[in-house]
Amino acid sequence: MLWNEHSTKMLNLAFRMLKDRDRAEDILMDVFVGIPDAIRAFRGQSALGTWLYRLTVNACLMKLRAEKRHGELEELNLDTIVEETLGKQEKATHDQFDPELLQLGLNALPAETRSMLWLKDAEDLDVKDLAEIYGMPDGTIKARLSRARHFVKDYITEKLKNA
Amino acid sequence: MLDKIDFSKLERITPREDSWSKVCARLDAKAAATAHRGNILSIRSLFSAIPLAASLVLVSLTAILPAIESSTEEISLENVASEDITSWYNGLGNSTNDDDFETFEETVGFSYLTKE
Repeated sequence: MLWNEHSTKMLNLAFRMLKDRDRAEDILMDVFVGIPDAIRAFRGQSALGTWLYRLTVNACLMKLRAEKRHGELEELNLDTIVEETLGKQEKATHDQFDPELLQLGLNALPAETRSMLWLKDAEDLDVKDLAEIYGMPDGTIKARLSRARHFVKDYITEKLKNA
Repeated sequence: MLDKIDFSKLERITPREDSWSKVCARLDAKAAATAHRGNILSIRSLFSAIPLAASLVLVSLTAILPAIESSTEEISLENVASEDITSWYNGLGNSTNDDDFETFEETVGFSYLTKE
């Protein structure tokens, strides 16, 4: 059943994007209620799971825009921060991060990039699926993922240094 | 590209137990609302179809009726022909003798034609 198979992954994606459990649950329910209408646009070109992720990402982005949480959406900040930190820090070598710090680092990313990194590294989606979900070329996805990883690792390194 | 970040230690949440039933309830309510809207729409379309059909019937009747009346106007033989002609016409087929078959006088018939 669709719910049993996909709801947990969709909920976690929404939770990463919105950083709030209740709102993530609302989004999950909204997406499932909207599936009978949205299914008309589904042409079977992508996997059902990929399509459901796309619905979830779009619903979360719409919610953030409606709430005018533009800080969650802007990519510009990330570019600046990464460029600054890349020159100063040596390449991060941590494989295992403290979960709390990792959560903080992840939360510091813009929502869309955060969800992208989550889907790639936590849910193991490949770049082609991500390109499908976000409607971006593969190269853009790879670049964003690379920047996001740099950002998170540098964020954690910085925090550990100051601790 | 940097190696993947290990998110395995991050908390993973699961949907609440009542979430699916809430989804079902919302879907049912939505289906009911759609059905109700469908009824209203059909009534609306019915109400708009009746006057439209009535208008079309009226217009077509207005156009066709005068033509039908003029084409079906009856011309009575008695009004336009003399008594001789009508008596001959009424007597046709009444005779029992084939040899005694009456023929209409040409002159009378001619006069009828010239009258017309």
